[in-house]
Amino acid sequence: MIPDFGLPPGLLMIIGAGLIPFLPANLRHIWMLLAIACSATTLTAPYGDHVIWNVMGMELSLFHVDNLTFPFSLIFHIAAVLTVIYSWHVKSWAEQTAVLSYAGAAIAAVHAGDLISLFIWWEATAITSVFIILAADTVSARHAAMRYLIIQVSSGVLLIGGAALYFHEYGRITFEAMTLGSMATWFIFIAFGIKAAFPFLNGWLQDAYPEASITGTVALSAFTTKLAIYALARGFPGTELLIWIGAVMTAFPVFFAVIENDLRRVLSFSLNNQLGFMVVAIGIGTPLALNGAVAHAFVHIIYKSLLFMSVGTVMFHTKTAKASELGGLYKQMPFTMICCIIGAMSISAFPLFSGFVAKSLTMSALGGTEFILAYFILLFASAGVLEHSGIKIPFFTFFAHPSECVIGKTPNGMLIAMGIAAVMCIGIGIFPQLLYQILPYAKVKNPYDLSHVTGQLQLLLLAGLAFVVLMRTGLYPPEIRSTVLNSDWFYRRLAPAIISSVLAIIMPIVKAVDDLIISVAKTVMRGAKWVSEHPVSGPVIPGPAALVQVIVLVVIVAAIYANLG
Amino acid sequence: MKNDDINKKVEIMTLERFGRAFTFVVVIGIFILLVIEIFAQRHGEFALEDMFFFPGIFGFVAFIFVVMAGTLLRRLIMRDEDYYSKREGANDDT
Repeated sequence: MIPDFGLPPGLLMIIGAGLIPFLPANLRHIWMLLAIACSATTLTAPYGDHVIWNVMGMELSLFHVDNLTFPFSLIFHIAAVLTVIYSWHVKSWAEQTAVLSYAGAAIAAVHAGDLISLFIWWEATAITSVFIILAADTVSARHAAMRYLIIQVSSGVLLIGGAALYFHEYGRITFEAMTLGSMATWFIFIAFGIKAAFPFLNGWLQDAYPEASITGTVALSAFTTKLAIYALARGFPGTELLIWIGAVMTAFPVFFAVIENDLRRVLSFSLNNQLGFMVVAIGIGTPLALNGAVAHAFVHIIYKSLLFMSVGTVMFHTKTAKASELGGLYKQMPFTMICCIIGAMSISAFPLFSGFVAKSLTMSALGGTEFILAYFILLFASAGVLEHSGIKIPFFTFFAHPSECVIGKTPNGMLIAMGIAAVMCIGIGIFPQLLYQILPYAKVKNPYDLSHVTGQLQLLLLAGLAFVVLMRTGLYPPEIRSTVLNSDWFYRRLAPAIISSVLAIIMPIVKAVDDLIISVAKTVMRGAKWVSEHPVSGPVIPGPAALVQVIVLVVIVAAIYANLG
Repeated sequence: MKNDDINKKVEIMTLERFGRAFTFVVVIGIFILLVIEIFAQRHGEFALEDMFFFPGIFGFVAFIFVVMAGTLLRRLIMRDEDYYSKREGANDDT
């Protein structure tokens, strides 16, 4: 029996967040954990719709529970706890309020049983997460936050537009599996695609996430994109287009991550690549594949948080996440290094780490289908993951070259959160049934068979050998301070350039027309004045205004006459 | 000053030792996998994967390709660090 709060899960966290500014700084984190714990009690709810509100004749299902909501709700609660612990040293009430309400909104969105409720929480995640970016309090963060907000709100507008059309078409607003075809479903699909960082819709991710504060980025990495994965899994399972979209998502960010210097941006590209695996799995749509997508989202939240936490901890001490300025910190930060390597091995899908037990499901589901090309793109992307997240992140942070940094004490909260995440990465890797038992569909068999393990190890170790060869031959590219252009270039540089070019052509024409009108008006006025001052005969003309009126009347009469003629 | 130089050299030597250890572990691992590949039946998801040491060869080539293609891509999409900030006025981060 669940506690009858009469409120949807997550909303308790949002209400709790509202009280944070009024609490003493040393109580806030305990309060946040309490709010998450209260929300987590709803995890025991049986399947069904528990909170239904009637609004304007529509039934809004605000607390829907089924086999798909549970794993996402569970991991979102875990991610919220990890974020709170990691940010224990943070005193900013603004950031804490934003983080708790953001996590709450994401959890509430997972439990939305209809498209209108989904839209409300969808937008709530957008607005609350903007404040996390703003909490970094830098000029670049403020700019990035505004771009982020525009894109996220656009996603919401498409979603509500799609929901309205869907209601018009089908007479219901239930959030259910849809088939692409109508404008309604396309709107909803693109809305989800923006948040899931589809190709060319992904610029906001690499633009905004690295601009947030150290702790803010950890929070951001967990919720928005995985909420989109959940939405796609519920709304568009088995949509073949997703296989190809996902395949592109896995492959392309790999190249960008190779040359990116900012390690938090590298992790953002890596996040994009991992989302690709999940999107492919949703596109396949079989029970095994959907289990793969859910499992991947679950473990990804943990190991990606761990990687962001590790780089964040380094940044906490060194004030930079630039690979060109880091290196050699293995001695000063051994615990962080170990956690980072565990995260790196998890994301690379080494056997006995969490990534392996999740990715195996997707690869097995793709195997034997007609999508051979997609399968090999994913295999290729797996080698790419090893390059940017498996090797580049730990290597350039903790090794590469000697360090001259003096490292102070790392806050206990950061160490504890990293430790918990690292244990979870290994725990799920060694005991995959812990994860498999909460997956939504058919029972999943153990991934540890000879073929899977040796095949994956061959891929990873030979890729590792390639790294050694490239390093020893000097072919591995050095890290350079730079900006790597991404799809945000289209709206940050191309669109302004086109608009200013068009304006450069139009504005002189507008000005010329304007000048012409003014000069004609001045001439008429001058002429009227002259005529009024020099009457030819008859009564004195009362003034230029009357003369203008006469002229206008003559023109109108002439026009009417011409028309009649 | 001299102590700093000595420390730096020691650091470099330690890092090189790590590099050698990493290489050693990788090579030993590959050797073990080769032996397993010879004596055990490994099956991939597609027939192509059943070729001798296919995942390993694929991983090696893919990794080299990713890095080389990324290096070439630099010419196309790499710009100065302040490429956006100098126009958007975000240089004065506080």
